Amino acid sequence: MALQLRRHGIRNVRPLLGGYHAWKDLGYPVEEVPEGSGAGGSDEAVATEDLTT
Amino acid sequence: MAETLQFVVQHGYLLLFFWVLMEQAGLPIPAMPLLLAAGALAGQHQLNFALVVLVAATGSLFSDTFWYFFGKRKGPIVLNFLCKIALEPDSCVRRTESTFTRFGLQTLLICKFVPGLNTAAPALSATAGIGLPQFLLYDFMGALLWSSAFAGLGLLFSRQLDRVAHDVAQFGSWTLLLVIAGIGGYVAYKFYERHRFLKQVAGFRITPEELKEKLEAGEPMTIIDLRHPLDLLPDPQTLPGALRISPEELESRQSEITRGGEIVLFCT
Repeated sequence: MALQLRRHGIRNVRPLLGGYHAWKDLGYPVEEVPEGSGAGGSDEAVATEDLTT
Repeated sequence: MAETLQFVVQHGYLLLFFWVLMEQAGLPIPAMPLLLAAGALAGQHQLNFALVVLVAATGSLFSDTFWYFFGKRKGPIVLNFLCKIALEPDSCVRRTESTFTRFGLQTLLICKFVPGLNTAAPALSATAGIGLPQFLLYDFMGALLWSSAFAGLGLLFSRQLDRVAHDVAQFGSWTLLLVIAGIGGYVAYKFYERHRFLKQVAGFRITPEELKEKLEAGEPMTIIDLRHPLDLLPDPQTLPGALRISPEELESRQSEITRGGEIVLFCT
């Protein structure tokens, strides 16, 4: 994804080494995801809810 | 094929059970040729077709239940691990999660036919909060569908498979060498692609320590959380101030990304 953005001319893109879990495992601060902010739009969020019902 | 048939006749259902169990556990030992062979043997009345299907499906269910409980305990980490050992680790997690979101529980019915998805789907079911009874029902139905499809093909084409086995035996070890070289070449190419990709990315990655320092220093920065909604179900938290944008939306939402400071992307 970072490479894709760089190819679009956005040069200051940097992927986080180890991702979310590396950040959390180090005990660094995290915050609650606000409701309705599911990436991928509302359809994906609704489908995800359906799985658990 | 001749050796495979002979081996299946000698060890029968027990071999089939453990082979499927190991394949579904993640070992790169495809059970499909064995299912075809078992089906062909059922066509020649050396094995019972219904038992072949049932034994294979049960072996699959055992492994899948293990991954289900492991996924329940460890969450998305299990999916990350499974995708790391896959040939295309960078698209594996996203592809698996998108399939699951699109098809829901029905993913368990089709996942056995999709390499990679078959091992990852049980762990993802647990992460998505699917209950054990529902999981067992759908997973077993999927396993029955898969084992009956391949054993059924073996049963239908038992005569042809016998002829193929005979032809392969005539060409001897050259056929085997050709197949191994083909598979080996494909795997080597995928590893080369992966190595080249990592080399390209290595130069501009940011460590968590560096990111924390920059945030504390108040440097202008945009953090983008690319994780799939399924990843958030067991742990609905994110990095401070992170924007939630899916990889598919990244281009259309470029205006939300501050061009001044650095843009940090992260997944699971």
